[in-house]
Amino acid sequence: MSSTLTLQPVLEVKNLHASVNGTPILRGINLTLEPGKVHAIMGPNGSGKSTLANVLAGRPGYDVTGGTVNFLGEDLLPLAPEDRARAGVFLAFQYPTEIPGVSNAQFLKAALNAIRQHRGQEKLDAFDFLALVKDKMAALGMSPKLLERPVNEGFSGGEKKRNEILQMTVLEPTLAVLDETDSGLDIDALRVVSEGVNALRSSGRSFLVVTHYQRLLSYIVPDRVHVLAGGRIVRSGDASLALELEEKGYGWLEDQNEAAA
Amino acid sequence: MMSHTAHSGLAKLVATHVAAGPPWLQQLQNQAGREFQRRGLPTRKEDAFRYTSLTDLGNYDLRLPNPVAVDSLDRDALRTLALPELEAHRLVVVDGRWIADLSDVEVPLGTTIQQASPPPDFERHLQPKGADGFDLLRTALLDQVLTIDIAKGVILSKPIHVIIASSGQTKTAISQPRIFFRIGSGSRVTIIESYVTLTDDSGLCNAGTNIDLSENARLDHVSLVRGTPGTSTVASTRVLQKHGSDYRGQSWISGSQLARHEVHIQLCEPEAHASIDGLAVARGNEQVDNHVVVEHAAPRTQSEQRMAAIVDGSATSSFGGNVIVRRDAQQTHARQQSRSLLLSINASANTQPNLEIYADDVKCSHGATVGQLDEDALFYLRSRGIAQKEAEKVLTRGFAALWLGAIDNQAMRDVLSALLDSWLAAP
Repeated sequence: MSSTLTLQPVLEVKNLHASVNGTPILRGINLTLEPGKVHAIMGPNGSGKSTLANVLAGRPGYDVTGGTVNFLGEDLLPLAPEDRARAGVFLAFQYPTEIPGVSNAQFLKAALNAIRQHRGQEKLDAFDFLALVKDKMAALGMSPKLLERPVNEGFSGGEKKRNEILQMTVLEPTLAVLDETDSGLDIDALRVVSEGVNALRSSGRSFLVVTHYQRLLSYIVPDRVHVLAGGRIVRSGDASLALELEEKGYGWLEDQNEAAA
Repeated sequence: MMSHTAHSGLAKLVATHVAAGPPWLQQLQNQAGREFQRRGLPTRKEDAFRYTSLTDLGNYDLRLPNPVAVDSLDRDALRTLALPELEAHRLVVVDGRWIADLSDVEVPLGTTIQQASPPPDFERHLQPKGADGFDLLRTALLDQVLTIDIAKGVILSKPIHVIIASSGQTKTAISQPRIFFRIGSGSRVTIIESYVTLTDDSGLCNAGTNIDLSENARLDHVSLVRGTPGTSTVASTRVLQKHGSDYRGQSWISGSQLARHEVHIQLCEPEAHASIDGLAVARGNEQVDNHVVVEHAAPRTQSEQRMAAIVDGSATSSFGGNVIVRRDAQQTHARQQSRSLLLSINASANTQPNLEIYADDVKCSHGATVGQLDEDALFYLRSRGIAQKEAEKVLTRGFAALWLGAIDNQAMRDVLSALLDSWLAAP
């Protein structure tokens, strides 16, 4: 495609506006994420962090009312959620859904094979699938028993979040959006989950880490930090911005934002 | 008085039927015949048929089937419908007649099979409480009964599979297979009954199965109603249970013009237990009905009903679940649960739970849900790359998993799982 040495951005968000139930939440987001980079999205409750994450994954009910989102140079917005996933977008849910009657193994295998098929790879049989997934579970400190349990049903908060990271490690996305993956995690689980994420960091994979707290970013050190307030990015900086926020809170930025508006 | 012009074919059939057999039988048949001519097939005014349309049946000029020409039957179709992957003793019944030529030669140890005029102890099974038009027809036109006896203390390792087929050789025939199981005390057996049709227009199969479960016997009873589009099947299972006996019913009903399974269980003596786990599936214009009556007539009896329906297209499901606890049936435990999943805007699911409790020291509960696929779960699957249609199938299968999970036997679970998958895979 491009003949210059400039790398094509993984994600390019321009002037993105989105509403939920008719209420505007995102009011002009601009964001460029290069390959291999980790960007953190921080901000107070209600600032639009989770909305941005869900809009990128294509969740029904999150209506884009303006702007563009390009993923690897292609328009992402017309794509159905499954097509986004196959193209390489992954959302680690803030509240992973419980699915009674569907085992975790069944679910993961169906997902992996759908994506492998899209990539022109052969489907994995049950044996190869188990070999692959059991190693990855061990690395995340997950009991293999969780494979036979219904998806997320009766999982503890920590198990649910680990399960999200497990799916990410199995599906190997190009863009991983982590929506408050740290919420509800104790310090040990936080370390394990972060190690899982860090192990996946590579030149071909970018991360958008949505979080309320700086804590997670001590483990997953971002290249850039953006602060969202009132549906806009009001400040961007390097990892030290997260520490500054931890110290000062969000209040001063919101005040600045109001003054600017 | 209502006229039954719609069912005049059946009324004529009953009027001209000449009852044969011993005098007690002739008397019962004539009585049922007169009653049928007065009442006809059930209408929506009867509670158990409130959501069931029988009008298509009334348009048929139903007649009794000609004796089946065994050589002209589609044996390959029969073999497939007989679940060849399942190890079982197979008995084939076509248009109500046991066909020894198509059945396994070897009869399991402790088992006797005979087809004949009803045995004298069948009399009490011919006057069911609350008989409806189908019950009356079964009695009025009763011909022969296939009686299968399992002696005392017999444990069969392989199930007995009775394939109850409608041949379609006589167009719009009414076949009335009648089967009587007597399970001896302490015996433990699995019986599968498959109701199948060999053509798309096999008329009405009005089947009746009666089961006497002796002291401490355990029966795993699997009823598979698999109709084809133009056929109607009404299958009635009536169970009488003695002390300490255990009935475990599993049912699969896939839709056709009408596929209806009625289960009446009477827990006649203390410590008897019955459970029934049913799944009914329908699409297009199909109708599926599950009707269960459990009567607790003795103290310390237990029952569970767990029924589920998956309804797509413009199909209709109906579930009637009744629990009756008689005055003497103290310390009864009865649970009833019904779940329906609607996959389309035009599908409908009807549930009628009904508890009649005349004893005071009992624990009874019931619950009914009707819902659609969970939007959040659908998005979750899609966000992992699973296509919408596939995601719907995965979730629908998940809905049915509770029903599959109730089956102890792995081989049986595989068979039912395959039936479910092939239904889900069909358009």
